[in-house]
Amino acid sequence: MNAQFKKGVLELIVLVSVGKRDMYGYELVEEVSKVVDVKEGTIYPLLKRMTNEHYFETYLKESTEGPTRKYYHITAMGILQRNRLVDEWKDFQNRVCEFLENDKGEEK
Amino acid sequence: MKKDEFFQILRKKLAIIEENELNDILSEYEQHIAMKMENGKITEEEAIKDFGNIEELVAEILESYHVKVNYNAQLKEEKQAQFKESAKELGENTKHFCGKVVQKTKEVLKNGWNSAKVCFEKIWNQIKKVVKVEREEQMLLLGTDKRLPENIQMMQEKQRRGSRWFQKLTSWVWKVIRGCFRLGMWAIKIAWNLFIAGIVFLVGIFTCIMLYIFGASLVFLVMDYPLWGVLLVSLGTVIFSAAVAIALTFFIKRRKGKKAIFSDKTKTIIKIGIVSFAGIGILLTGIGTGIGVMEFSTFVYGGEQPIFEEEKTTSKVIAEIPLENTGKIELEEVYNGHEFVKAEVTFDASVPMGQVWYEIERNQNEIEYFAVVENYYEHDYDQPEEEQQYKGEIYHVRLGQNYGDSNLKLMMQLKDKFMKDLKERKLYSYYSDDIKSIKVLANPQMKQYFEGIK
Repeated sequence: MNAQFKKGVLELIVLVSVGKRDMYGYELVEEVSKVVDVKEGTIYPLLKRMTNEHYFETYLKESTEGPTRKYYHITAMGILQRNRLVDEWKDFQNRVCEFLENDKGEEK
Repeated sequence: MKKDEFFQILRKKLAIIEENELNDILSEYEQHIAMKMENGKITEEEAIKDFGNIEELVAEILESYHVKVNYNAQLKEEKQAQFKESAKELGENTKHFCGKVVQKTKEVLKNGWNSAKVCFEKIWNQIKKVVKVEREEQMLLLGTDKRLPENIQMMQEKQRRGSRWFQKLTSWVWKVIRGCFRLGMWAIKIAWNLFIAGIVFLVGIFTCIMLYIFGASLVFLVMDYPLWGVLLVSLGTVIFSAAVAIALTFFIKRRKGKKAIFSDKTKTIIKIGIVSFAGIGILLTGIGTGIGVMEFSTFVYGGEQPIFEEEKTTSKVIAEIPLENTGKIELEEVYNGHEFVKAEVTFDASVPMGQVWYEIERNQNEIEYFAVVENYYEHDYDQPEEEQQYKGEIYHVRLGQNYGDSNLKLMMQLKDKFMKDLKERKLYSYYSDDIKSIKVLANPQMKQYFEGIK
């Protein structure tokens, strides 16, 4: 997949995922991978950035299966950002599809 | 890459981040790696690979803190610039300092030199004064009247001044210096003259030798030997070296004051004469060399030529061998002055028992041949002495040569041939074999003694 597409949409996907429920790093990587193929090296710095920008909060929770895990929880600002991005995406998607539809008619 | 190495690198590159935060990040990664390994059934290395390029990872992490990613590099650059600045400053300061030092030294030297000059000048002036007074005194004694009032006055003044010890000292010093100077010049002159005389002597000897060669080659030339080249070369060198010797005599320094032997006009004529003679000498030498080379190039090399081939004879030498029941006869190889000649054994019934005959085909010369028979036990030399077994007698036959006057005769004959060939411009490598071939004859019944011998 085009790297630019991936990059543009990653923040959106992450916000929506964490918006559904609190997740920890590994879980999130798996969740996002269902939509686009990502590397840990991309996700974790992104999470760090978004946390520093206060879209997420983090907390530690004990787990039965191993060491304590760091969970990400979406903040109010995060929710606002998520909604904005979703709207932008929908708008963007419509416009591109429309463009392609029109173009099809004129395709040689 | 292993986990520990990975984290070590991250710690180093993210050192700017607070310790707690950094630990937080790394523990999250550690967890992730562990879970990845468990669930995905992959190795530690593969799990870490999924983090991608470390530099990019570090850059992105730092970005999220709004930290200057290239901070360290920037710092380094600034430090380097600073270092360059201070180095430059240091350089300039040193240059300045050195300049000052040089300046000071120059000043000191100049001052020292000036004061030294002043000192010397003072002394020199004193000396001059003393010399002037002395000269005047001499003039007085030689020429003018003593009784003149000025002279008397001068002498009185001089006497007055003479009591001063400083004047005495300077006059004495001046005398010593002058004396040394004269002595030095005299010594140099003598050395120079000896040197020139030595060279003239050597050149003279050389001239004589060349003259001698000239005379000899003249005779040879008359006898039809191709020696024009040598003749001319020797003549040329005689003339040239004679000219050189005469020219050198002019370099001998004579005492000043003695009247010159030649007038200027004669001197010029002599100089011209010497130069022209030298030129002629060189010219003749050159021509001679040329002719000599040409003559030599007409020489022909005839290859190896044996001499006295025509005068062959055959001699018979008898070797007496006291035969026993068992034994072997050993024949030594003969060296004929050129190579080793092998003896072939032929069995002839006309040879009596107990005798071995040598038939030698050889050049006619003064060499006498005889046979020497030595016998010794055949031993097994590998065994120690006590255990050696007696195996029988060995008769060792050697051909002896008595040279007598043969060498002289050979040389005289060779000389005649060589001179004749030289006249004809031929060169050969001469050689002469004493022995052409050897045949050994023995009675057939003695065959047993010859077997088994190499």
